[in-house]
Amino acid sequence: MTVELTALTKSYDIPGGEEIAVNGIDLEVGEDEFVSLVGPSGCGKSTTLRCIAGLETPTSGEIRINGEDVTDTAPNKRGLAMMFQDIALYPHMTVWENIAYPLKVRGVSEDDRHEEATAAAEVMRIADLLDKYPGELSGGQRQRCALARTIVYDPKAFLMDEPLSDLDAKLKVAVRKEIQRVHDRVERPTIYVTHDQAEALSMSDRVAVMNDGELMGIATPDEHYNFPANKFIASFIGNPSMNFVTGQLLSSSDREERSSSGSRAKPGDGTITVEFHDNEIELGATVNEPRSETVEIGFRPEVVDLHADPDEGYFEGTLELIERIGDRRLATIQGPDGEIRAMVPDSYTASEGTQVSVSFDERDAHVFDDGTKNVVGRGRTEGAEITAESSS
Amino acid sequence: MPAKHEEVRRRVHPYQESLYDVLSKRWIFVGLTVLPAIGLFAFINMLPMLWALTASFFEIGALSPEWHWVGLENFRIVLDDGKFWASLFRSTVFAGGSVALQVTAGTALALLLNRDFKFKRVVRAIALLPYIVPTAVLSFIALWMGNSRYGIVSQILHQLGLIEQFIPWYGSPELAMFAVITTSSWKFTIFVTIIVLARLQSIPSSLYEAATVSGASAYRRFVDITLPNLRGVLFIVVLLRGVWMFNKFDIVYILTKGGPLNKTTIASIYAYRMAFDQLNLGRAAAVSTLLFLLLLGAAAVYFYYFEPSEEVRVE
Amino acid sequence: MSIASSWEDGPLGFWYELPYQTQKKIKNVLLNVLLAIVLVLILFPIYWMIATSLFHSNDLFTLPMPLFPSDPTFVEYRAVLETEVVQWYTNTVLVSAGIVLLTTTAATLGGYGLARLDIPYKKTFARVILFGYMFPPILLSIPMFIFWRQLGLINSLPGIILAQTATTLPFSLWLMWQFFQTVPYSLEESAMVGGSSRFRAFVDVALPMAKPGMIAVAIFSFAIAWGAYTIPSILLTDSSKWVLTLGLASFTEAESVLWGQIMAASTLFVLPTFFFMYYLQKYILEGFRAGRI
Repeated sequence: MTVELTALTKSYDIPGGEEIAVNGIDLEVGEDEFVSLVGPSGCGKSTTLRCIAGLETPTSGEIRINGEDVTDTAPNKRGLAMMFQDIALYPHMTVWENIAYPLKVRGVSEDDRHEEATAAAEVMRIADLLDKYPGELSGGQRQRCALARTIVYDPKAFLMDEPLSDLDAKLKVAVRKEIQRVHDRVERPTIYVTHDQAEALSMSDRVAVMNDGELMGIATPDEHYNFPANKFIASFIGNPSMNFVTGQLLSSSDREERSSSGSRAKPGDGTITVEFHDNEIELGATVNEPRSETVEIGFRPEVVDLHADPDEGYFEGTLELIERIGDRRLATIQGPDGEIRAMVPDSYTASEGTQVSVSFDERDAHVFDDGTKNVVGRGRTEGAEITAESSS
Repeated sequence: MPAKHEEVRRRVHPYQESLYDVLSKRWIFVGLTVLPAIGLFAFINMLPMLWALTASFFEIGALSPEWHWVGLENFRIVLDDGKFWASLFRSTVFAGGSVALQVTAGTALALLLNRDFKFKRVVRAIALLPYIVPTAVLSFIALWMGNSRYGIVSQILHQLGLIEQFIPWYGSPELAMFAVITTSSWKFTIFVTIIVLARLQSIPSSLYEAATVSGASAYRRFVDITLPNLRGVLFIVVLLRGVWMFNKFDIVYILTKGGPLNKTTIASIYAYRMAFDQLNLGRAAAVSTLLFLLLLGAAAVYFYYFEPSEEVRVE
Repeated sequence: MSIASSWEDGPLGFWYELPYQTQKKIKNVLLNVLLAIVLVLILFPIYWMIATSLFHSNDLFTLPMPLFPSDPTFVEYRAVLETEVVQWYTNTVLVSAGIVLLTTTAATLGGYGLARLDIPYKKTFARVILFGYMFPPILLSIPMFIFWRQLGLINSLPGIILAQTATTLPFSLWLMWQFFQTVPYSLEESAMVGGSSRFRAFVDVALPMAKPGMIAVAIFSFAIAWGAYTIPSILLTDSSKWVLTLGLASFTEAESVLWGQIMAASTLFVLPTFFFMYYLQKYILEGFRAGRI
């Protein structure tokens, strides 16, 4: 079973014009694949999901489920299952009535309903709660009940609209596992909407990053992390997020050399040379041609090194804050272009307020064009393929 | 997962399902839900209103069904009539006095009821009783209790030594308006109480706890938390009660028939007499049109100055 | 704070020396006394109605009148039952049931449609609904009389049901509209994605959730219907079609006012409704909570 979106667009009429919530999204979710839609609030991810569910009518574009065009099909005829942010259990029905409701509307007899609801409840380990009302359940139990309601029939795909956002951290992890267990068991495409990139990275086969109604890129979690296609993905994926410094483009190899390398640099294909704060570094070129003289160089806090000797780093800054994150420390440095964050070992001893020098591993650096925001060069040349092109 | 198969599932009678599908079609569903209300509203509210608006430009004889176009003549005559202006003034006094009394007493009672005390359920039920005592019943009880010779109110006040003579509450030109306002407020105050109490219960107690901990007195808590939260509710209550009391007819008519000495002839009674005593339907329609326009204007001003942008959503 | 400290020095200064818990208790007792006074003011007229109906007629016109009927008699009730009161009672019950049913159905359906469906000009309609109340009801009854006469609805119970609904529908519609906005839409959406048609989601999910609102509307319209006077007085001219309020008024049209009979009839009229009120009060508050009214 598959879900396909082609040029999906949704706009709303607002006073004095229209507001585009989703702008021409193409997305294909394959057989039993788990895909997350992630992005900041208001990016159109929920609207996209609601279009797939049939709760919103797209302005243009096409939605196919198993190859069948359902763009104009009523939500109840699409055969999907959906979990909502507020769980949406019916407060006037018991747990078993809630779970069995989709069967009831399909005309299943009461005995069969009871049997299948019990089976689904057993899968979710809430079989002892069948006669309670949702108001009597804890947050985690409600989530399980809502999940049971989606698996009680055999939906063509699962849609999840931030189902974990109201849970505390510990429960989140538990329910996340349940969702994955269900996904593995039912082998149906799952589209999962969240604003939490860590959640998306940990659960998904592929992650689609959205911003302002546009699809910024879709790739596996590793690809997004190691080979971000553009500055938005680079800064959105990963926590603490990537550092950026401004630089100048000095030279870049010409079009022919570049085109063979895809959006990831390959050894010997082509190079790009940039300058920042009186340093010059040479990195592999990607398929995207630099359009402007100014570039931004991105590097993750994990690859930053701090030095006491000003000559050892690329530039200097003031160490403003050191805080503990797990078994390491996160240092915040006020640099010439704003804040730089660095992950330093527990043993790091410099005190707040001192001058430090910042360096990073060139192999983990990325260069983004300041105009198009696309990646134009990077240090690392190995890793998985990037499956989708950056938006351009 | 599990799932028995399609043949188990398809037990809905096909025609039942297709009936639901038809009813769910967008315009059929819109019609099904909204049309009865809009149709009723158009037929029983809008149509008579439009009739009256039209009729105000005609002279309509009581016995002959013929309409004679007189233009603005009806309005001119009504606006020239000092009795109309006097009745308008009395309506304003009646509505203003009633709303002021009902809103303050109603809010106070809601605050009193929104506490913990014994027999809460019974007490609240008692407080709600006046709401279902019919206006006519209330009027007769009030007339009996305020009777000039045997009224229990005068009797008790007399026994307490507060008055020397029995007072004809509804027959005294000085007291009639006051008595009518008090009587109608006995019943309608509870409308305010219900709505305010419902709102009070939805104010999170954490707001009060936070204020108490930071040193706010009971008075400050009332002014800073309770009142702002009630603003939206009070806005709509004052509007509704104001409009309802301004157009009130039955209670005043049963209590005093507009007397004594016309001291309680409010505008709706003036219009009633125009229609049923003088049998001048066109002129009565003109009076109601004027009242309607007046309320409309007052409501517009009220919305403009007082509408709380956040709390009241009329959509 | 400065006000409080100046009070602490004043004649009421002793108050501030009491322990906080004692202050709280005293305040509470005072408020309870106030509440008790209010309850007496509410209950006394009702009590007096019942008491009057039980007095012998000679007690009624002596001074000072006793506060309690020491020797209650049902003679007034017997007299009342000899009139057409049973017929009027039946009419009132039928009319009220009709109005409650019509109002609640139309308001629930309409409130749902206006809250949930994307209907053009619905905001304008919201204001027009409230305009419906700005026209004096006494004057609505004139055109109604003329229309109803042509439709043959004068002196008919369906006619009075339809006419009186004009006074209950606008507020009820508005209340249900508000109420449905407090019912999360995701519940119906979840039902629809789960396979239920739009109509079925409305019946299975939205309607049960709207119960408190519907009960509040039913009580509101019942209170108006049960005591309706103005419109019936114009549209019902035949005494066999009267409702109780009109019948009550007829007791005064004789030479002297028959207070005992009026109060007996009123008692019969009012008492049964008190029991509803007791059992439904919790829904009234829930229903009127309707979000941000």
